[in-house]
Amino acid sequence: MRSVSKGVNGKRTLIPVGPFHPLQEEPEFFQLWVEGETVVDMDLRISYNHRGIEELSTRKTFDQVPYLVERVCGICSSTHPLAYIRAVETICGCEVPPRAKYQRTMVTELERIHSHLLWVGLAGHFLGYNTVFMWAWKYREPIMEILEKITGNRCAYANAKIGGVRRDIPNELFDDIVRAVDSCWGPTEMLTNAVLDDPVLHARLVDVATLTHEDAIRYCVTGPTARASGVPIDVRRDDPYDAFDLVDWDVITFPEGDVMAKAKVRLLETFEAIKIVKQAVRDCPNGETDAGVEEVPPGEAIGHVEAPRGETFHYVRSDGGRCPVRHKIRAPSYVNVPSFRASCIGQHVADVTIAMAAVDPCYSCTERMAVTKDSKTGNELMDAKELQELSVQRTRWFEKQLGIEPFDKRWGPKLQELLA
Amino acid sequence: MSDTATPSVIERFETKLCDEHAICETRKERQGVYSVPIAKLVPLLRDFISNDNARLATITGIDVRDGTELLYHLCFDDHKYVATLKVLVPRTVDAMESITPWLPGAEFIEREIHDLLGIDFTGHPRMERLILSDDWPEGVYPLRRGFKKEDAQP
Repeated sequence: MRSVSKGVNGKRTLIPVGPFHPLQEEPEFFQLWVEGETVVDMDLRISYNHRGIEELSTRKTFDQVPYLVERVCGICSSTHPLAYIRAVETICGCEVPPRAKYQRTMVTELERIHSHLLWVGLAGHFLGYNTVFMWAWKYREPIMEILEKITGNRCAYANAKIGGVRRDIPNELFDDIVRAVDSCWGPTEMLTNAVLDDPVLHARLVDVATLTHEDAIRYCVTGPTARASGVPIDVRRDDPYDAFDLVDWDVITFPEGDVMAKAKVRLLETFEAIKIVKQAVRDCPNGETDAGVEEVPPGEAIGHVEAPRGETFHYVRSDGGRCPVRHKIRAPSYVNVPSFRASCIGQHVADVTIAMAAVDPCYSCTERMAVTKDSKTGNELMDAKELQELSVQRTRWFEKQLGIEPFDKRWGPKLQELLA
Repeated sequence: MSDTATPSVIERFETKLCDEHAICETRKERQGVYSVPIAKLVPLLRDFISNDNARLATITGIDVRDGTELLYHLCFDDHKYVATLKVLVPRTVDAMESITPWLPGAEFIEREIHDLLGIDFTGHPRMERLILSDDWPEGVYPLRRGFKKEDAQP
């Protein structure tokens, strides 16, 4: 751990955020050094809850590994197994039946919709708009329910297997899928309009924590974080898998790189995901769902897929035995989170909560941390809750300055109208 | 939108590799593994990343009989191709030139490989603990084949 640097006239304060809460799947420990209200330096420490999944994976058979890796992350639980399965399928050289391809596409895109709505809710919470949090999570619920209906579980779907899908989604459920995603369209449209038109959100999000195009490339970021900085990469298009090259959709990019751009990318991507799901349901052919892979020959391959947060990258090496010899996993937040150093330094401390939330690092539980005192410096430290409080105060200040009512008062009636 | 990798670009990429005495080990439709002499790796990476718009996805470290294999996964996103450049770091050396000074995106993965496999990345600005806890004993690398749990007692 880096020691606390002295700073200008000794007035540098350390704000620790983290390290972790058992409910949070990615424990992280941020240390922010602030002078006045400006962040001057930051450090990040991870791996407080290292589970050794890469090593564990080499003790499982090829068929068991998907169940293990879908537990890497509760929200990206269809993309991790899929990346692994793509790698193994490349080693085997097997061709996945079309029906299985379409069904995998449905599940990954449903996952993207619920993950992006979850993010919108959290972003609202960090800004002091708890109504947005409630709404977004409410509209996410039909998606969770349909996922449970078609795969048997709200997360850890276990739908994909090497060579196809484990369990066929019956045609009778296709109408339910369309109904569920349709129910999301209106509210997402409303949330998008609210974000684009809201003067307070503009004040809070535009030109905040900008990650420049050059920094996005230098930090090798992926997913919405890269696309909001004008780096047009998306594995679904750049290395198409499943049915993504068979349906019509667009890669959403914005050049600005600020928090607003990241919000816009995620909101507009939700619509693309809804479009993809509906096309996949429409085009899904009848037929086999399993290629019947018997054994995995010696070889090595990579597999990567576009998770809601960015590229999930897996590498698998086989020696022809029952288990992988090496299985490397790189989740998207692993490359996205270090880019904080490029985007947060020099920012207002009240903006840091939303700037961190903007890359969506699975960050929901840190506000339950206790207040701590740094034993070395004796500084009074702030915890994440106070940091969030600062962020809320800043939103209220902007509302007052602009002379407008709080968010839910402005948008509530419109929403009621929409739902009626 | 075509389904396969752009052939002309991949050919140019493979020519560059062959000029540096790299050997193609596996070549699939949209990915390939190339064994590269250790001295040529960093200049090649730098060339591909700055001139060919390649993106470093991650680095994989594998403990093998004669040392540690490092696999640099490069995504050529514009051309639907993923190339893996493989080098063998002999056990007697256990060191590799760091790429973090010009590519900060590699900082974490190099620190991780240092923690788990004991490869020293020379020139890395912050070769500190990332995965292992601060009280983990020195010189014990959990992803090496010979690792025993008893060695890890702090």
